[in-house]
Amino acid sequence: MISIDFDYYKPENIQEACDLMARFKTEKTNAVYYAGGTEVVSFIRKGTLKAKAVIDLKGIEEMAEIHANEDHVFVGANVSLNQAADFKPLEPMKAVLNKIGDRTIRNTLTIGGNICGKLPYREAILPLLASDANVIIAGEEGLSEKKLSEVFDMRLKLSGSEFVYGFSIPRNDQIKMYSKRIQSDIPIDYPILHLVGRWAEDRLFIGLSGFAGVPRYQWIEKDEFDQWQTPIDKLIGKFASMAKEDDRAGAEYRVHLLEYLLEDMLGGMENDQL
Amino acid sequence: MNSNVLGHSPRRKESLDKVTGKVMYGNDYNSPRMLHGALKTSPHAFAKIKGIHKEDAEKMPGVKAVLTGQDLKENIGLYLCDKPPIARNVARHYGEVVAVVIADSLAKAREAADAVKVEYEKMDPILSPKEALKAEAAVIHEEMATYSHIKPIHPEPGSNVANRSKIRKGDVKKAFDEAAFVVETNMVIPPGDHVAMEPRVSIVEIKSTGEVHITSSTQAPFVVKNLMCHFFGLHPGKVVVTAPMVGGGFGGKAGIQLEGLAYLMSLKVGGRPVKLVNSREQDLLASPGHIGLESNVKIASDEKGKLLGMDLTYCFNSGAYADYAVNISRAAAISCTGPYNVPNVKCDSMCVYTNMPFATAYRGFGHIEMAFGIERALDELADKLQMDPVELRKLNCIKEGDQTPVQSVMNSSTGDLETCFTRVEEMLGGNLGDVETINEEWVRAKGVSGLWKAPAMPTNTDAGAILTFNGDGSCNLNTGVVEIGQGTKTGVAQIVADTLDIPLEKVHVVMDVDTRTSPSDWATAASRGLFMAGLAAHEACVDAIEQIKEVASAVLRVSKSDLVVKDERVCSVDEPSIGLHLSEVALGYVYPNGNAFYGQIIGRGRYIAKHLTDIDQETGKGHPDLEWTLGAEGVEAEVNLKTGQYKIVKAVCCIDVGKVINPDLALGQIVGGMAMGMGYTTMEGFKLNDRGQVTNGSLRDYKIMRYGDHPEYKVEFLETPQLDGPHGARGLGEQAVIGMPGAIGNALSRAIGKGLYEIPITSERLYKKLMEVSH
Repeated sequence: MISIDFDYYKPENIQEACDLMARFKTEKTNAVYYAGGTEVVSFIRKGTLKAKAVIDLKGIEEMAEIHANEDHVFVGANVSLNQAADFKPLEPMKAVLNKIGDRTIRNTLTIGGNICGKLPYREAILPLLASDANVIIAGEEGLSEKKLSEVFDMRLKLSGSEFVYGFSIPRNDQIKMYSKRIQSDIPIDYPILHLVGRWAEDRLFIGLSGFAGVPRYQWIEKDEFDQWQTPIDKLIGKFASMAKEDDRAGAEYRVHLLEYLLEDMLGGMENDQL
Repeated sequence: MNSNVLGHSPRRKESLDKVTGKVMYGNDYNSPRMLHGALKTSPHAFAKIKGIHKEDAEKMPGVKAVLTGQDLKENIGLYLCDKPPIARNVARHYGEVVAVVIADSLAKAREAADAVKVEYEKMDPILSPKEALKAEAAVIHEEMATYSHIKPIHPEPGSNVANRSKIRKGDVKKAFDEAAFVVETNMVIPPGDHVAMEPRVSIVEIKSTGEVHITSSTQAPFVVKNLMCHFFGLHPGKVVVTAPMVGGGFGGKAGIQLEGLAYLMSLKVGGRPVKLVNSREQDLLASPGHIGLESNVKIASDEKGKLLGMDLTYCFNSGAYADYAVNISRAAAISCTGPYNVPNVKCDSMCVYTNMPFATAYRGFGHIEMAFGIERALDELADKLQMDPVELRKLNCIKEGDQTPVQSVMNSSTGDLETCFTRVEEMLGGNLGDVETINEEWVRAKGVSGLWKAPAMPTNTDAGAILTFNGDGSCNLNTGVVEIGQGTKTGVAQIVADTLDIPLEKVHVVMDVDTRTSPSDWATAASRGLFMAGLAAHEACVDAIEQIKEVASAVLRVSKSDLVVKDERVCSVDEPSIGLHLSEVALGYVYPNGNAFYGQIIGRGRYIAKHLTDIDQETGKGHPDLEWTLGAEGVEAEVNLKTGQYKIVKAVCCIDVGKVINPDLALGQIVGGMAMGMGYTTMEGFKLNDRGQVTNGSLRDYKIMRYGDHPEYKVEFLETPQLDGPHGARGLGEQAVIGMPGAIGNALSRAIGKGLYEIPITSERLYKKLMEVSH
């Protein structure tokens, strides 16, 4: 149970939500946006989150929408991971999303919540980055669409009362994404390494969750890659210093697993992607 | 005899209520006057408490009282009286209770607990038995000399040793001098938790008559009753403990936990009912978990692999308080060799205080920890001997006539361990020494382990059964066995249905235990539920049958010796038409003219352990061990030699249980035990930082086996009868957990060609071992 009292708000449009957050910021009231609740509930239980106000974004109906046209897929931030994974036009992301938690919890986890939460994994960001997605941000000025890669630097850079409204993803059903995830013991746990890779036409995406303190990724130009004598060593060199040491695994082991998965990925991908 | 009951698996008596969510657990009980308690716990592993500021909390709305260690003078302890209900002057482990709040609601109590401010002076925590045993180590319990304790344990004041049990059998020095082969291994197992599905809860109310009513999630309502009287000077007739359905115990609810504190809280608020319920996080850390062990195992054998001697040192990591741990270290001494015939044995088994969360009983009670060291060492010996690991074990299996480490003699009820090993080997497909290559990364290997366990219990351990009847000839069975998910009430009911020869539907069981109305029962622990209550229930049936025959004899004018009870009737053995339906005698016989005779049938049955003694303090000689259950287990594992990742693909067990009363329940216990042992070996255990703070104190981080994580299981039972058991049965509740660490450790060590000595065996640990340069 949650033993602290807080005020609960459920605005029905983005203006209302932003106004509330702006007001709390002025009043210096500790307020949080809420999209699924699994993290908020856990952190309040644990005593590490002392919110006085909770703004539930699930009252904003458009944020629960998911639809596609020929060019783009729109995923509202409140779409559950299961809904997203089961949506045909998002087939390339499915393998990544289906590794987060288990089927039951993915009914509650939202794509916005996964990416904006406090937990450091935020695995759903990786296939979005690999797909060159745009993020649609709601703010006091209304909606604005930006390249996700421009807003994401270790975490989503949001300011003031902004929140993630949804994502616009270039539609490409042909994308093949590599996704392998290793846990310290049982599958239903956070990753000690989740490697997501994709060969785009002229560049390679490498994204990692659970490896460093936050999700990390790089695009590598094909020209550069082709010049490498030992591509795996080069790739390891780009990430190794970021490896974290925690209860689930040591840094050295994470680097070893990265090497292992990179070998697997590059070995298996070359034929059909290059 | 009702041939349709024993050996069958009818639906459990409580299952419908459970699956429909109607069953009541402790925390489901509420009353209008009830107050609620919340715990404030220590963020430090070892710290002096310099001051507690509770004024702010006391002023908060709905708060009735705030209690601290200073308010409570009594210590409470199961066997060694070492634990203040709330830390007094010093906090000895991370998560220890330092204050409690009593308030109108749980939410208010928890909010006020946050508002209690505690000043600490941190000290350097002791985080392993090895550290705790150093001469210069801080003494965690400086007042140990003043603690009262039961006679069978031997604390060493001025040190961190809360108990030392010794075994001296034969001449160990000579055995090692004459040995052809000697192996020595050191093992480490961390403390962890049971993770029972239901967190502990106690509700206490003190009535105006002075009666103390306790409702608690306990496996041991009579232990609670007796200790409440002992520690608080209460009269036994005035303490009433009720144990409703319990959501899993695994030993964690077998002692006294929240009851004493909840009583003191009720006392503080004029006797009003106070409910104290653990959050999951508190259940992991503020209440006790399972014990850790550092062991040193030396084994000597002759050139053919016959065991000559064992020299064993067990340093159990009890954490900050002794609880059951003192007796766990004693139980591990009693069974210290594992199920093997070892003529010369030296063992020092110690219960050592550290500044880690404290330990209580856990499924296997010292045997799971002990067995890991023995079974790993036996595999190393087999390697040295270049002998098949199963052959080595079969050569040394304990058998009838052999002596246990305490020098009691295995009697004619000894199970057939050799056949258990044969069956396990066959279930695993043989070739146990081989490592099979699957592909360039993965290999497959197998490992086995023996297991044995006798209950560790007081010499006067008892149980009882009362059988009353209804007008339709059905009966009501009342025992002191707590239903903790194991289904024993159904098993005992099957014994009653069989003995009275009535349908199982006509045996009604009293589900909750109430110490005022249920017959005395030591505890639902030590794999003794079905054994003891089953014997008592059988005796109650025999008693009832005598009475039934007495009535019938008069009414039918047939001598008692010519009467039988069968098919819900009592009748003449040679002329079954001369007889009465049980409904006609159950509540006294009534003649056609209205005259009544005899009155109701009440069956009484009892059990008490026989011929048990303590063990000698210097040699360990004695007879503390009854009814050893023997068995063997094995696993098949697949290991990735590149990453250290592995999976257990098959787990097998063959166990000699004497008699299978209910196959599904028996299978459930064995598979459940194997699963628990697998989680214990592969992923569980507390993780601590160097300040002694537990960093995996929630189920986000403390991982246990999930539904989808299981391998293929194969279980077989042998039935060498326990001659004094109920229908020949012996205990089987804990045993299957015991062999898993050894079997898994052996399979994985074989797969990587290097020895694993530390639990949990994570993929990373396996990988690091693979990378180690051999010396």
